[in-house]
Amino acid sequence: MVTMKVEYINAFIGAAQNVFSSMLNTEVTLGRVTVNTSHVTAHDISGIIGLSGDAVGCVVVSFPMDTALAAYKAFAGEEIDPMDPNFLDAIGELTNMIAGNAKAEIVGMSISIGLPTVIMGKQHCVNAPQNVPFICIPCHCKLGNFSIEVAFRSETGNN
Amino acid sequence: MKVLLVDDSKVMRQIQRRSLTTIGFSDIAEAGDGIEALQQMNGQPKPDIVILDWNMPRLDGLGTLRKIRETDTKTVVVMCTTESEKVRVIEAVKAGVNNYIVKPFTPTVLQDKLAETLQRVGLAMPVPQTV
Repeated sequence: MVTMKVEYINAFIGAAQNVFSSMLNTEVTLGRVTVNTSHVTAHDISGIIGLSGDAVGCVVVSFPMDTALAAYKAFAGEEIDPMDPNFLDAIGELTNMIAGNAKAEIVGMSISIGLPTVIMGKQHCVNAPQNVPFICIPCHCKLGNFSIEVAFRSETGNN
Repeated sequence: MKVLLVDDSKVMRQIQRRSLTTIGFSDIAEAGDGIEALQQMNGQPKPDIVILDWNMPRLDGLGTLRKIRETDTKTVVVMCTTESEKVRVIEAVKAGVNNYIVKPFTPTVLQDKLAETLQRVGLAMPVPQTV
């Protein structure tokens, strides 16, 4: 079983707190971090970004619809219909900022991030890469609950 | 003074546009990737300032910056990206970037960095129009 260093988890937590504070003007608090070895049942809309280089895996930032709509309003300054492409664009950009900030905080590893993919649909599942568990970080802010799921395997043997 | 916003996120371009409009920029164009940006660089009037994301489809920000600098050392280019590692910043500086903004940013950071950059190259900020 692959494990993950606490400082890597903290990098993603810090990145989410930084992004939500700067771009959405809200502070993020955390629930109890759990591990899921197979897949995560995400909320209604998820931004997903692949990691490559010295670490391989993915980052999933997942929102219930109400939280996502409130986040969009805080981010873009206006309300939006969930079917508007800009809605998915904004969730992808928030995910991009969280993944990008986190990888910069992971010292000693050169990690590249891909372009974000956004999936919308009730209770969709995201599979973990083989033998890489998802670290699930429940988050709360004034806009509502959301979660960050990170599946991350070091290619340098430095988990 | 013309500004070109280059980012694959339309919402991010809207946020940047709003910040720049507040401080007096009115001639603002947009591009969704590096290829579109280079096409706009060949148009008239040519942008004076390019605000450039790094991770984009087709042609990324670093590639776009290098292409711009092959023929143009005058246009002000400011990276605005999540790529904040020192090695990335050094790559961008070597390629000729004028300044660097790390996402996430507040409107004030964008405005201050732009003012600082223009001052450094001897250009004046626009004067905000009052109604």
